[in-house]
Order: sequence, then structure tokens, then C-alpha cells
Amino acid sequence: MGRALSGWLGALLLLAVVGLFLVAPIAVMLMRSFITADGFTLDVWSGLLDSPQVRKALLTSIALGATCAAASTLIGTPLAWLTSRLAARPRAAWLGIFNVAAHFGGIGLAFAYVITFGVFGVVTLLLHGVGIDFQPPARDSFAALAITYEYANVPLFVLLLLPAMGIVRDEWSEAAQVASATRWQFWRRIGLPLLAPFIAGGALLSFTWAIGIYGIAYALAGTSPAAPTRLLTLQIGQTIADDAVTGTARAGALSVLLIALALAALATYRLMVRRGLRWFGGHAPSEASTTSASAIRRPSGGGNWLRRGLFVAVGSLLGLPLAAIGLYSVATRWATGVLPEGYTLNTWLTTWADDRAVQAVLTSLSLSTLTTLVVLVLVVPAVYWARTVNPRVRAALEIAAAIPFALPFLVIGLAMLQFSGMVAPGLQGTYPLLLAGYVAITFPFVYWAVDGAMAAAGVERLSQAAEACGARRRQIILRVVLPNIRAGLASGALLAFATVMGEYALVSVLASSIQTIPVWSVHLLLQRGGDPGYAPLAVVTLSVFSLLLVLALVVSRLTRGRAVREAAFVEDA
Amino acid sequence: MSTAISLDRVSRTFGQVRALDDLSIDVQPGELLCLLGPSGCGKTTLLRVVAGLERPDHGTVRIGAVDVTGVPARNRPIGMVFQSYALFPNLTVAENVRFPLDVRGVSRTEADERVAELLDLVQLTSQAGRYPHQVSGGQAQRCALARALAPRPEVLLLDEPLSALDVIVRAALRDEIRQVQQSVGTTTVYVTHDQSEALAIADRVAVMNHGRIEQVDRPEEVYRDPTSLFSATFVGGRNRLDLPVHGGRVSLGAAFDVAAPAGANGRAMALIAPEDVVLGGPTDGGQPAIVSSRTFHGATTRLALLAEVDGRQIKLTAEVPSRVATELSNDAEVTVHVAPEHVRLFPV
Repeated sequence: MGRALSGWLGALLLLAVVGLFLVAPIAVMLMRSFITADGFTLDVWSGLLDSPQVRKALLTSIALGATCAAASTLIGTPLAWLTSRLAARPRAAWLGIFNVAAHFGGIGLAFAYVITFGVFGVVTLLLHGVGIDFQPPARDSFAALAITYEYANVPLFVLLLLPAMGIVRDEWSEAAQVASATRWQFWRRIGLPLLAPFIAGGALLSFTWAIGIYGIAYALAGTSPAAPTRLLTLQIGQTIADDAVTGTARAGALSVLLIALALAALATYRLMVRRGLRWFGGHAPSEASTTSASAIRRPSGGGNWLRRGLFVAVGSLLGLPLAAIGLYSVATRWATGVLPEGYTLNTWLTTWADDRAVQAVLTSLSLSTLTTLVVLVLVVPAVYWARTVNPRVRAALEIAAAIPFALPFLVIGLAMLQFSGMVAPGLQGTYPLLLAGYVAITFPFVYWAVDGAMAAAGVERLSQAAEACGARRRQIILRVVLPNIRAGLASGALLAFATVMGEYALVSVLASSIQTIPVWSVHLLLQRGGDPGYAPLAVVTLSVFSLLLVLALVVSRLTRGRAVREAAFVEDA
Repeated sequence: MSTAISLDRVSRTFGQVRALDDLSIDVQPGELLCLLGPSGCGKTTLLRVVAGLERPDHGTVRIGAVDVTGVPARNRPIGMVFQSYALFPNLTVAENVRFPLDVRGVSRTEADERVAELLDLVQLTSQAGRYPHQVSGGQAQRCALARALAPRPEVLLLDEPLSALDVIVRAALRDEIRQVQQSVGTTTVYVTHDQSEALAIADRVAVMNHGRIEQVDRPEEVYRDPTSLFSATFVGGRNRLDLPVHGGRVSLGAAFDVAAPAGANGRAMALIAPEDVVLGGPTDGGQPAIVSSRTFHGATTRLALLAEVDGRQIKLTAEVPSRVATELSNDAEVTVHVAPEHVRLFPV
């Protein structure tokens, strides 16, 4: 017993947190959808699927997920390919941008949609200004949700697919050219068959992510019964809000639908990745051998302007809402015309004098920082332990990390709410519970980054070498391990930080009295009618986005533009 | 008879690096030409320019009588073997060999025949259905060779084809590549940084340095008669002695005394192959030296010698049959003599 335990020692704390705040709540939630006071039953399920409202929500969610997945695949695949073939510096910059867009996204995007495509949105006004009678999709419409989702979904898809792009070596394309194959013949016979499993897997995950989004949908569509777009996540949110006592149980059963979808997607995804690696003997080929030449030898000839064009297009699509928000934040009045009627810095001054705005920013900053620190302290020893002492720890961590990767945060939040209600009702609505929740959902980002960094640095061998030099464990970790995984630590920390900064679902379910930036933003966004007073929102969103972007650029410079492993290569999948 | 490949004043620059510097060379039909040089000398770039994977900044490339300078790789009559094989991982060994035939629209039966013939040629018939990750490095390389030869190219290009293999496989495969090349008679350019590989396999060796060709000759001539300081240094592991010129002559004590080369300005570089350093007993005449250490190579042994000439300590390596070396202990006193025709002198 003592020995068995000591094999897990370094990872115990992390596993305890993950078990208590992730695994147990989800397990209990699953069980409760089958077991009621009357024992085992399928009543909850049949009741759910009989409800026309639920059926409609399910269908709409699936349609939205499929739309987003299709769009992400079509845009994201060439984008991921071209990004993987960029020189180190521009690649680092784009990775930084994608990371922020994918992980911070959320409420900021909902706001950006309103500012860009709303009735008084920049694009709307611009088109009106040049005489086009443009009717933007209403903010609670299917199209609006799909467009907004794509801003986070495409970058996520690119990040997921990027490591897989490394398996297609430039030499293969050259070998095909020398063999007289056209570019198209190369892609049809070699490139696409090699990438297909990864692309399909990525599409599948895009699909589940889109279905699981709550914050954007809620901020855009609210939960009013009149809203035209009913989604599964909105249904769950509303069920909780309607009735605090019985609502949670029914919402739990609804969540199980999402869990089932997500688990099916994850299982298929893993199958796909394994299929994709079968031509490599089941192991991801090392990245070093794949990109060496591409850094020096830029492809000659025609593809270049096409590539540049695509990046300019993507850049302006990503930049458009930002520019709109920026312009909005310095506008005096802006209801007609292509540009604001006047400019002022007043909003910037009043926002930073507004107690609620400042409070929200401070709350989010401290919560994100604290979460990141806790995750680092938990994850680093655990991964080190997994790599140097007990490889079985790694298997456990891989499985645990897959949970927040696949399941919507809303579902995880709800499961925690139920579970804490059972075992520690006193914790509900408190800061410590929220913090624990954030630690549980963000640890995978840090785990993957640190695990990848330790693998790349060859931490096992470095440790043995240090030990052979007579170093003690503390010295090994502080003087050998940590300095060699700095880049991994930084990129993992950034993702955790950005995620908490933009996260809405978990906080709204677990502790909505804690006014983070997203909670405060949604509150403002849903104040309908009259002048909504979005200006402070513009200032805060732009400030946070800029902060994260700067951090992301610094971090990706540190990692030299290499993609952090985004779980795409679960080597032992 | 026209040349098979002809490069005329070709240049290619990567940023600040002149990978090819106004380089010209002709390759004769059916011959195997080795491009030999240290890493970064431009030999791979030269190969890629012939392949069409790299466009030259200046100059023309001809294959046969055709100017192919602006022709993309896929329209050139070439086959190429890459350093790390570059086999398509999603195709079997047979499908890889078949790939260039398929994309050219060769008929099914004709392709079947050709693939069978090639797999037989490189002895891979039993591995035909395997995927690249399931075969050994040597088999993968033979598959790459078969794929390159499949469309009967006019020119075969090999980029360090053996560098990823271990020593034993390397020697066997080297001879096999030579055999296959001679049996099909395809004009071949073979890039390597390994001089023993180049000397063993080539009809002619081109020694490259800094994007230029230093010397092109038959292997024996490159080895025995290097025409530049670089090829004398790079090929043969020669002794390099920086010596003063006195009265139009260069000497190393009593070991040798030869006329200084044209253009020598007070100093000259003498290059001497280790096997040309002849040892004698203490009373045989020549330059006295002592044996300081040795490296055993099996049939031969390399002896490190120390001689004092005009107050300078000179280090010299001599290669002698091992049974001679065993008679000489370390610190043994010997004399050194080098025949004048074996001293290659270059102005510094």
C-alpha cells in the first residue's frame, strides 16, 4: 500500500483536485440521469426526448455544430497548412493571435458581433453609407451565432490541426514533383489521405465545441422564450435559472445528452488519430525532421501571393471587429454614417473611474492569476513525476485532461453544482469553489504544454545526468528541469490565464455573484432598449484583448512559433 | 556525342550565402558523377537545380540537348532519391514504385510489368505489400531507388542516399547502387560528403567548396593528383605543412627539398599523403623524428611523428603496414623521407 501510494506521490494533489472537481461530479451526474428515487429508470431520458422543445433545441444545436464544423474545416485546413509552412517569426505571431482568439473568445466576440453587424454596427453603417440596404442577421439568429462562433472555432481548429501538418514532409511534395505529379495529384494521392483522419477528427471536435458553447449564445440570444434560436446549452441554462431546486436535476439530464455527444466525438477522434498514425507505426514522427528545410527554402513561384492573400483576408476578418470596437470606444455619437460623428477619450477615462468596471477587471485578473499559479504548482510536479517515476500517472492524467477538452464547461459547471450540493452545500457560490472549478478545467492546457516541453527537453535523461553529477531532486528540478521547460510553462500558463479571463459558463452556474469581466459584460449586453451604454464594454474588451495579445506574442516568441501540443497528438492514443 | 547534363555559369544565392557561385559542369551520358564536398558547399543545391526543385538566379541548365532552366521538376526527365528516402507513407513499397507511372498515365498492365521488373532489380519482391514504416532503412532506400528509376529517366539524382544507414548496410548498398546504375546505364549524379563513398562508386568525382567546383577528375586522379589546395586537403587525409620558401625551394629538414610553386610569396603549403611518408632506421638518412602515438586501423597503422626542423616542432602522420608499426615502440627514433613527386605544393 505504502509503495503503491509512493508511486503516485508527486501527482496526488493534482489527481485529488481533478477527481473531486471533475471526475466525481461528472460520474454522479451520469448516474443520476439513470437512477432516481425509484431506482434505475430510463424515464428521465424518454421524458426529455419526448419534449418538443428539447428535440428542437437538440436539432438546432446539431445544425449549428455541423455548420460551424464545415466552415471551420473549409477555412481552417488551408490556413493550418499555410501557417505550418510560415517562417518562424510570422508563425509565432499568428499562433499568438489564434491562441488569444480561441481561448479568450467568448463574451468579447458576442460584443464584437453587436458592434460590427448589429443594427448600428460598423459594417451595417458602412454599407448603408455607400447606399446598400444591408439587413444584418439579428443577433439572436442562427447566422449571427454561426458567424460569431467561427471567430473562436476556426482558430481552435487551426491550433488543433497544426501539429498534424508537421507529418506531411516537404520532401514528399518534392518527391512527387520529381515523379512528374502535379500539385493536385500530390494532394489527392499523398497529402490529403495522410491528413484526412486528422482533418476529420478536427471537424468532429469543432462540432462538439460549437454545440457546447454557452456564453456567446447566451450573450447574443439570451434565454427569452421568444428568441428564435433555441440551443441545448441555452435550454440547460434556462432550466437551472427557472427553478433552483428541481431545475438542476432536469438540466443534469439534458447535460448528459451533451456528454454523450462529446464522448462519442472524443472516442471517434482518438480512433481517427490512431488511424492517421498507422502509416507511421503508430507514433507521431518527430517534428525536427519535418520542418528543417522549409525554414531556409521558401517555395519558389506562384503560391506566394495566394498565401499572402489568404493571410491578409484572415487578418482583416479578425481585425475588423477589433477595429470596430476600438473606433466605438472613442466615438462621441455614432448612429449614422460610415464613421463616428466625433471623437473623444472620455469613455476611456470614465470607464476606468467606473467602480463596477474596475472591480470586474480586478476580479478577473486576480482570479485568472490565482488559477494559473495553482495549476502550475499542481501540474509541474505531477508531469515530472509521470515522466521520471511512474508512467502510469501519465495515463491517468491523459484521461483526466480529455474531460474538459471534450465536455462543455457549462456541463462541467452544472455537475460541480450538483455534486457540491450533495457533499458540501456551504461551498456553493463561493470563490474557493469557483477557483477549484477553474483549476479543474484549465489544467489540461498546462498539462499538455508542460508534458510536451518535458518530452522535447528530454527531461528523463537530463534528470539522470544531473543525478549522475550528484544533484539532489530539488536541485534537479530548480536548476535543470524548470529552465529547460520555460517556454512550455509560459504557453500553458497563457492559455489557462486567457481561458479564465473569457470564461462565462462556469462562473454563471457556480457563482454568478462573483462579477468577473464576462459576467459584467453579459449583464451590460442583455440590457436591451435605449442606449445600451456599450462604451465601457468596448474599453474593457479592447484592453483585455490587447493585454492577452501582447502576452501571447511574447510567449510564442519564446516558443519560437512551434505549436504547443493541443492534444492532437495523443501519442499513445 | 552531346553531354547528358550541362550547367553553364549557374548561380544561386540564399540570403547572404552563395550556394552556387558561377558554376559550370558537364556530365557525360551514362557516367556516374559524384559531387563531393563538406556540408554547406552547395552540392545539394546543385543537385536540386538539376532536379528543378531550385531555380538558379543566373545561368542555364540543359538535360540532353534541351534547355530546362525554366522547366518545373515534374516536366524534367529525371528520377531522384532523397536523403531520407521520402517514401510516401500511405503507399506500399509497390505503390511507391508505381506512383511515377500512375501520374504519367501509364497503362495498368505496362505499369504492373515495370513495377515487378524493378522490385526484382532491387530485390524487394517479397516486401512489395509492406508500408514504408514496416521495412528496414536499407530496403526503404532500395525502394526509393526503384521509384526513381521507374519512369526510365534520362538522369538519376541521388542526394546523400546512404547517410542515414549504418556502416555495414552502407557499403553493401553502395555497391548495389553502382551495379544497378551500370545495368540500366542511366546518367547519374550522386551527392555525398564521404570521400571513400565517392572514390569507390564514381566514374568522375567533382570536389566542391563554397559553391564552386575545385576539381573534376577520375577518382584515382582526384586522390593522387589534387589540383587545388582544397581538394588536396579534403581528399586523402593529407598532412598539411605550412613551410617557408628559401631561394625558390621548399624543404622539410632532410625529408624533402622541392622547387617552390609559381606564385608562392615567401610561404607555401605542402600536402603529403600519410602513405607517402616513408620511414627508415636512425642511420638511413632523411629527417630524424620520434614516434609519439599511434592509431591502429587493422592492416595499416597511422603513426604520429614529431620532428624538429629549424627549431620548430613539426607534426607528421605516416601510414605504415601494421606489422612494421609493431616493431616501433612509442618514442622510437626514426627517419622520415618523402619522394619529391609525392609533395603537393600550393601557394598560401
